[in-house]
Amino acid sequence: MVIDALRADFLFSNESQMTFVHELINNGYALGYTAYSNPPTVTLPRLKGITTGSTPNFIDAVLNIAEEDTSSTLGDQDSWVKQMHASGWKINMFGDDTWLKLFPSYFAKTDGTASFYVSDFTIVDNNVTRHLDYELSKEGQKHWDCLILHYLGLDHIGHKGGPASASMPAKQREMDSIIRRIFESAVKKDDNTVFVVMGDHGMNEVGNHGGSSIGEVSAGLLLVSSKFRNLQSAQKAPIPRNADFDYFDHIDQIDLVPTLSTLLGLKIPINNLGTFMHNLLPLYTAKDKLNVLIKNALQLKVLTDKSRNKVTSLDSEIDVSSVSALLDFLHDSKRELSKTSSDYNYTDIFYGLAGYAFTALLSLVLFFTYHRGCLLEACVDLLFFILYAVNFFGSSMIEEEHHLWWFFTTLFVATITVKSKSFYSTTLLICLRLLKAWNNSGQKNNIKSNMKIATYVASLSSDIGPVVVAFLIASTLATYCFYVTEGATVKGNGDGTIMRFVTFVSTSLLCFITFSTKFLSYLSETYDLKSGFKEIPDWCSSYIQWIGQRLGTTDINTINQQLFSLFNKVWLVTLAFHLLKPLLFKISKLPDPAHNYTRLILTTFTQLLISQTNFNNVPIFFLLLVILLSFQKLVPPSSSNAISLFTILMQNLSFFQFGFTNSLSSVDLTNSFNGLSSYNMIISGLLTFVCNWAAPIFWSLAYLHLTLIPDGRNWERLYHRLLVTLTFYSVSGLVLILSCYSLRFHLFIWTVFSPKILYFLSWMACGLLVDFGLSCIVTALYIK
Amino acid sequence: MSATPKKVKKTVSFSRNSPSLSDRNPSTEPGSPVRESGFDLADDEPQLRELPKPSPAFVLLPFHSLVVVYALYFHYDISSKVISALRSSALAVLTLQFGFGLMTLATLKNKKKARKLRSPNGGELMYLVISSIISGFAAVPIFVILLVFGAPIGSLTEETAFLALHLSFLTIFPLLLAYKFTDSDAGDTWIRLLTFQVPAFYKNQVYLQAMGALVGCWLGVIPIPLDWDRDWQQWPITLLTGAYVGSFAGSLISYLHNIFE
Repeated sequence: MVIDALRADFLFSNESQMTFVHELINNGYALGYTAYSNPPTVTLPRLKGITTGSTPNFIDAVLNIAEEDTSSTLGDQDSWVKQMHASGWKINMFGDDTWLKLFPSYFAKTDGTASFYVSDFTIVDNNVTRHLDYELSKEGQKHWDCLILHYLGLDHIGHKGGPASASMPAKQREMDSIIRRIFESAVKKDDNTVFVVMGDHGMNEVGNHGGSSIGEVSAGLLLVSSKFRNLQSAQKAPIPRNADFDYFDHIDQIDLVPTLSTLLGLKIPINNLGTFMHNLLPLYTAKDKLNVLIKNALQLKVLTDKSRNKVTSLDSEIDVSSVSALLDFLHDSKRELSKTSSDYNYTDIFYGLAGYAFTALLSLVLFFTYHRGCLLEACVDLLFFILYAVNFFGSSMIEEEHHLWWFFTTLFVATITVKSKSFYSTTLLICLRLLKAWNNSGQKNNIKSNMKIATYVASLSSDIGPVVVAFLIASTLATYCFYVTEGATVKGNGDGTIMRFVTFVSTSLLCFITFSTKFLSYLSETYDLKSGFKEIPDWCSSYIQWIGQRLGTTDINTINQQLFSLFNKVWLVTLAFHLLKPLLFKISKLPDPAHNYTRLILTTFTQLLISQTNFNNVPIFFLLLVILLSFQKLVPPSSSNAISLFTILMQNLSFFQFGFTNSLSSVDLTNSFNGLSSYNMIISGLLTFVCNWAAPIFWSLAYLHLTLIPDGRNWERLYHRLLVTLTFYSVSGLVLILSCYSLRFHLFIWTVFSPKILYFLSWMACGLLVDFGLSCIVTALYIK
Repeated sequence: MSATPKKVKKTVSFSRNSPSLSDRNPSTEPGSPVRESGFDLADDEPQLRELPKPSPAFVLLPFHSLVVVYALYFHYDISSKVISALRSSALAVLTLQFGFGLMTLATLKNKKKARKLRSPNGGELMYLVISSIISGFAAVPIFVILLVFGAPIGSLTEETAFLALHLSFLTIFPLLLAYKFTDSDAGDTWIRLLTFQVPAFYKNQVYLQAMGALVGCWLGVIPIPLDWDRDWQQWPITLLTGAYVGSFAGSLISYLHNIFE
């Protein structure tokens, strides 16, 4: 039974609600472990590790998100699932459909649940539990030899509300009761059944996972069998909660593979790097002990021989009749193999590197050809790009990249300030500082030394919190409403007022929907609304009821989904209208077709971005608007180099100040399914992208807002910005690839550098889709 | 507050001045593709009259800055007891600066008046005391500036405040010695000092000493995010070190520049 994101403390600590588990441990039926799960701590690579015993491939972290991919199957690789299948076992699998993706053909009976529908805590689990009635019955038990259950609800709660979420204790009790059911009906009476309860990975303090922080790699593991009573284990649960996740023995998660195979009498999967859990050895007689260990040692020996390119016999290296010598051998070969298990295909790496270097060279040539009149400016730009890129050689500079952007941005803004001596630069600086204070991004040291406004707002008590959040969200949205109307007057004709009115009303309606969605998700994620509206003020509950009546439902999640799908439809219509407005005006010969065009596009897009942003971060968009407006006052549209640089700086700075980092665990999946009634890979992928890259999209459009002016040179300016962006990405990307290549044996290559490459790829996707694609569409439709 | 953004200008233009450099000669190049006007902010520096410069002197070099850095680490043990080291060293720094002030005042005056050594009179002592008090109070706006440029508050407010106090001693105090607030055109001079409108600033030893402190402080932030996990990487030790070393380096650069010219 796999419970997704079951951290060790959820099972064993004194704050754990799983009392039956504690009882099992205290009665000697169960052994508890803290199992180290190798990063990347994402479900797909972890399941590969748990079944094959090998260390994972990094690309799996990406495939984890691309649900419909088939290249990640384990059809050919050896695993205990394959061994069971080969021995003629019948395996039933219920739960996360990642298993089905890994093992498409081994299961006798399956029911998969999609793992990315994160806002649903109950149905995913009920879809698994509903099978237990039959499977655990006398009749049902005859029809399987191995039952795999994978519960996702706990992980979803983590993603939504973190480990301290209001829904967490109830979920733990639910899981505990399922463990009790399985134990009592299948394990208690049967000595030959082993029951494994485990998390595939843990979660960090905000409930995300993917990285390598201590919480994410400390998964819980519980082995249950009636046989274990003979072990006389002295384990006592619960253990006081501690920050080091120190609960019982520490093992590697992959150790489960040889242990399980041995206990069940199967062959150990050939690629396994794990070792037998030695505290289970007393289960065997003295002779069997040796056999068990020799079996494991021989299997590992094959792998070490392969990596050393020479074959020797096991007897020649160690004394095979001594348990301790065998244990040492297992330990050593495991360590050696985990070090060398990364295999590089150098030809492909060099082809890729050469291709990228060529592109970088090409973009540099273009860049300098364009800037031949102002070489100094180009050199300063290039110096900045290189200074930034050099930081990729330091793992901590990647982890704390937001510091770099803050440093560069303040430098840049201070330079402008000195030139301008205007009041607006003070506004600009103060807004930047507030932007930084909102989330104080970063992977370490950011909790103890810094105040975060977002955390402060989210932790306000229930009598003041909803008021403050509602005010912040509403005022942000209202600012955009007024901003879009302020410039909407059309000179001369009487239809100006009508246009203005229509724009204001349509924007306000859109804003109202956005407000409701964000405010409702705030309420549902901060307070436990499942058991009534007691925790929240009266006006909030009447507000929810009022909307619920209009939509004909009372469940807050359904309300929100309906609102989101309504929003998406209205938004698409509005956007289409605004994009085509200049064209329509031109055709029907109305005056001033392109008037206010970029402002409308910017505001409309911001509505989408806000609806895709975590409620905590909505007020940031107010700051972004103020920064944009003050910058507009400080720098005229003609100084395109300054604006292009500013766009790159602000794209990156605000990306990090939304709370994102270069770790996979900070990817925000909470808004990926807004308004979707079924799983759709492309749309939810797009929504995830918009949710995480909201700030870069905003600044890309803001650039157009600053530079689209009716002088017929818009394409020239856009070309300049794209050239700067291209040079930026090609120079820094080249250095990044070089640094990853030269540091490929670095300790942090899989935990720091590889995620950075994935992030960099997403940045390039952003460059291609938004900076290039969207900008071109918007510029092309700007018709005067 | 209006001085807020301007304060850091000089620190900025050392490392990157892309807009300024490119915009100095905006429309003169017909080949340049996009540029029409550049920033519309004309460079008015050429019209500025020169500020009176204190003439360079070896004794004006703030050797005590280096002593302070040494003392911070080995006497006050700043890497383990940040707050107490900052607090007790502030007093010592004040004393040292006072001595340095006496020396500076004497030197500056002697240079003017035909090299006749003379001990400071009561008025000058009074002036030094008032200057120290003024630089103490100037720590408040410096604190705000530090804050705006990203210094942390919350659990680190006290550290940042002491950093501001030290910086004030390093920048405002030496400037007060060279540009007395008792002079008739002090208002005009100080506005120009605070808005970085100092022509030929590299020849001005005292001014460059203050600027060096700012630049050093600005660059001192770099080691903090590195994952060496050393005690001295705590906020604000590196900034303070950078400021002290920077003030000496600034003064030295100006002195050498003057000697070799």
